Amino acid sequence: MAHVAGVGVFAPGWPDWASARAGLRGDVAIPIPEDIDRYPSPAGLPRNERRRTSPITRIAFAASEDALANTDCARGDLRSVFASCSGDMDIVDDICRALTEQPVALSPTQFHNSVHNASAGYWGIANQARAASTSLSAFDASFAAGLIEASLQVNESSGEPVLLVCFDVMTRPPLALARPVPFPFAVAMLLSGDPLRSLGQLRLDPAAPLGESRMQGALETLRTANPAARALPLLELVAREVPGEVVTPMPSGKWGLGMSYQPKS
Amino acid sequence: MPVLSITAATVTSSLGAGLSAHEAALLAGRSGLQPAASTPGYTHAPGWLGAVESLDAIQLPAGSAAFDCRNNRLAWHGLNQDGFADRVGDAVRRYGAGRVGVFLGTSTSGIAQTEQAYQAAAASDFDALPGWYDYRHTHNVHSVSAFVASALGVDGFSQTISTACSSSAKVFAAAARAIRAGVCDAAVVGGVDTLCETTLFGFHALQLVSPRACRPADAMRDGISIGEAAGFALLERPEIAAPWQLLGYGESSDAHHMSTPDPDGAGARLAMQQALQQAELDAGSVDYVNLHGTGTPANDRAEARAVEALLGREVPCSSTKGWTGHCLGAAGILEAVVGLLAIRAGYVPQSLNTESIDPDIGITIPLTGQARPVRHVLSNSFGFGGSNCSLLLGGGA
Repeated sequence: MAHVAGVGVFAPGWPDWASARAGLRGDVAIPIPEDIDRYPSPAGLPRNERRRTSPITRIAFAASEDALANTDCARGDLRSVFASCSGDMDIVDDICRALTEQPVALSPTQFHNSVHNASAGYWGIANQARAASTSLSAFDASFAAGLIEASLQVNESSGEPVLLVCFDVMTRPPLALARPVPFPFAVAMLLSGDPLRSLGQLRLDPAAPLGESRMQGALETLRTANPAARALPLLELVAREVPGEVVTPMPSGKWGLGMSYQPKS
Repeated sequence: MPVLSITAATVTSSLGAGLSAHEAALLAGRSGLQPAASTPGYTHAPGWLGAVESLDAIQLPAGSAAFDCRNNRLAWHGLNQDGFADRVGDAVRRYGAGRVGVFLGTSTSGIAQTEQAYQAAAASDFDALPGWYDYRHTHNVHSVSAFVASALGVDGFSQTISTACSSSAKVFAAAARAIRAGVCDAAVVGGVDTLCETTLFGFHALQLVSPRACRPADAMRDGISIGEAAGFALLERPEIAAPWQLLGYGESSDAHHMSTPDPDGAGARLAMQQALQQAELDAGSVDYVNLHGTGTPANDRAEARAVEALLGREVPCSSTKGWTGHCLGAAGILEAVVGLLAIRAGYVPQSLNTESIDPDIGITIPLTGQARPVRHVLSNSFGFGGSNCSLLLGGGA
């Protein structure tokens, strides 16, 4: 059990939760997903570090900043869970191309940015956060795994806030042929045990019957096209401020993760 | 009360397959490192390597063809040592397949498959990737956990932690949270990382690869040697009788730099402190520290500072990377298992290859192995991105 204290989104046409929320409530049309021309510059980093960040870190930062925008949590003490199916696929492409050339010369910056926890590392530097941070993957169930891990951390720390960010970039050829991800998507949620600063309460059942909540029209296209967008059925409940239960497959593919949401009355 | 019982463990690295091979090599002071130039398949790589022999001959179990790659072959080879897979089978019968979780760490998973696919695609200017290439089941970070869960017939909660070189230490913390909250009754934890060109040439680009076998804490140390390993442990509730226990863990971030540790080791110290606090042990109770000790000038100096500030100068500390090389995402589990062997054998391994200790390093670094009772081991794992994890391990009650 955890309270949702804040939500952030970054996706094509949805630069923040306010715009995603309007779309999920049906107030405005769902944007047509496409690539993003400019990725927002990550806040809080020294200029040298900022210059080195790639799109994946930029979308993780954008969603995280958005989730924390109206909260007063102390960032230096904030635990974080960074969940991404594939990490930085642009760097994988660059490095694997460079490895086909002789003599091999890799970029040192690209190499240290290639680790799955690069975005988490930059987040720590930007926010002087020495608290525990983890970076994980569970392939298409990375949002489910991240959500469970973040709620277990809230539980472990007796209700202290935990930042969950789930994000994947679009893939480009030739990797896109083997793993098509047509657009970037990042979602962040600030979870805590504090009922006073809460949009609503979330209960998780990691042993629910296997199932997958589907959406309508363009939202369903969005949901299935990027692993991070598997968060959308839950986000729809938060946006509409309605109670409900949605389900997404657990990493095993044998069980469902039941997500039961009760908005603050 | 310990955090968890460690009811089974195993490890495979360049020292050999299984616990006995590792214990024998540690007692004999025999390193698994050799020059890359004489390592089949890696003769073009820089430095010295800790390679696992004969992985090419390993065959995955029936129904696992899609997962076939060097990383999952090493995972399977590792699971078949010390009767580990059978012990997991017992746990599945006891608790049910859905109640046993899988928490593995890896840094690069099966990225070598993508490297090879790109080599094949270069001729056609990367128009297409070869038909045999399967991103999901080989390269993806989660491939190793998906394969291990499938091979062991385990359906519980699983996640793959990829925080560079702290990955397979942090899996203990994640599993502890899941078991404590009742999400799982038991957990397979561990890590697998294999040699790949991305890391071999990436560390070289950062000028962090030593031209000889790494010499942790040595005044002349000049970088790392890269190795590969697979290690696993079976974790259950603390009341279950077991040969070893997880007494505490600590996780922290440096918040300093992507690839250089905080020179004061503040984040490292925080992780060690949390592990001690959770175990309710004082600094004097630690009998041996298995250092992260990569052999780079910056890491070993910062880590020694952090250890000295928290534990003082007396406790024997050594890095075992002179034996195995730096096994990156598998370093955490490999060195945790070395800690378990130190407890079982009553033996503190020396800092192999170290000849003359850096005068800036004030902690006790044994240059010869010492037979002495070891009750509590602190094992450090630190990674790029400033990700730190310390584990406090003890013998069975």
